[in-house]
Amino acid sequence: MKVMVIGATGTIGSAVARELAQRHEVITVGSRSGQHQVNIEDFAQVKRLFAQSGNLDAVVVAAGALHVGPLSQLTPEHFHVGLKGKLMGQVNVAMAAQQYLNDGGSITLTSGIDTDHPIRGAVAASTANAGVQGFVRAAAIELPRGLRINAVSPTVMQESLHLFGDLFTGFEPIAASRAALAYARSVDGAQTGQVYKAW
Amino acid sequence: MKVIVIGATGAVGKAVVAELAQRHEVVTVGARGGQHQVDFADIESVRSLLAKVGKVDAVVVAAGSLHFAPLASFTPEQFYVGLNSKLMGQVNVALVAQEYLNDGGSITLTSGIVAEQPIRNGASASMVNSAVEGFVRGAAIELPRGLRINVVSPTVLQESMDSYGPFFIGFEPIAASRAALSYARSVDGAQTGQIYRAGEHA
Repeated sequence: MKVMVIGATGTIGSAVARELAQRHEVITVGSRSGQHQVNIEDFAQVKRLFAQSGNLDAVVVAAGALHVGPLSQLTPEHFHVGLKGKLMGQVNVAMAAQQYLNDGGSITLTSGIDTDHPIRGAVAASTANAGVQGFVRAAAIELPRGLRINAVSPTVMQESLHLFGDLFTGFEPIAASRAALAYARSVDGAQTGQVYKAW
Repeated sequence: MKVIVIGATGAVGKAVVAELAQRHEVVTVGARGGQHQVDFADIESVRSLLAKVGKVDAVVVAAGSLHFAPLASFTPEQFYVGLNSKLMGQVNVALVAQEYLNDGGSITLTSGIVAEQPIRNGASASMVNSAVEGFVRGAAIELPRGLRINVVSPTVLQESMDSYGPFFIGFEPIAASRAALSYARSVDGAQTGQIYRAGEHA
């Protein structure tokens, strides 16, 4: 299979690229590095990326900006960081990918454990991540040609504890290599409309 | 209790007003009708509404636009119709209401059955309604002073079958007066972070 991984230089994305490269041809995409660069918030750039890469069997996204901060200080603009980045950035990829995926191909997006298990300071993240999962459930029933779409909802990564550990006290961190297995289930599997919980 | 109902002239909102007015003082708000008007997609408009109404014990929102279209033809702009209205409109109300609610007061928002049970043409509706529910789960754990927040997820209403019936074939419609009971559970009850599913069968 030919698989594009967007966010391939991040903690999760690099583990996903390693996992999938054992069996598949992987195209790595980042915002600044990787084989191709894209700003997923810009739909025109996303469409150009797919026009360059040509037909694919799978697209994985492990990317998207989110704002973290206490509810009492949040403004609409803080919510729009995640709506524009993590939510619509991934939706842009899914919408553009439809035309370039071979029959039976898959789209795998990323939400997060705070969708189901809220933590302090993450209400804007919970909002955007829940939106991703809702989109996946609905898109799954309308995609043509056996195209599939799933989401992976990861917990906090061992590799990210130095950044996010304080937010996730009491949550069991997992290795990015374990989270990558959930993406492999989506890419190599046959289900659609699923949320794979990597926790 | 003093309760503001935003979207008070809609099918759900009218029934919520009728239900709550039996026990509470209800302030009705609409986009064009009601005692006060608000453009809830604009947080400044929400701020001036609550500054006029003053302290309240509960805020209910049953309002918000969504775009329906086949997935293949959806544009980013069409997704933003629902994100700016049904999602951020309700978030705006919740953000501003924090300051105007008395201790123990409640915020009740509206999602919809398609958050969990998708229908054709409903990619934006599922996205937006799920995001509203995610917001409510996240906000519930951070609200101060015993403030509560819940969301009602109604199925299609009998009163709306003329417009929405063809989208919801096989879904059992319920009377708006039954959906209104879920809002009453949120307003008069004591729970927070809940999704009250009005008429949904598992």
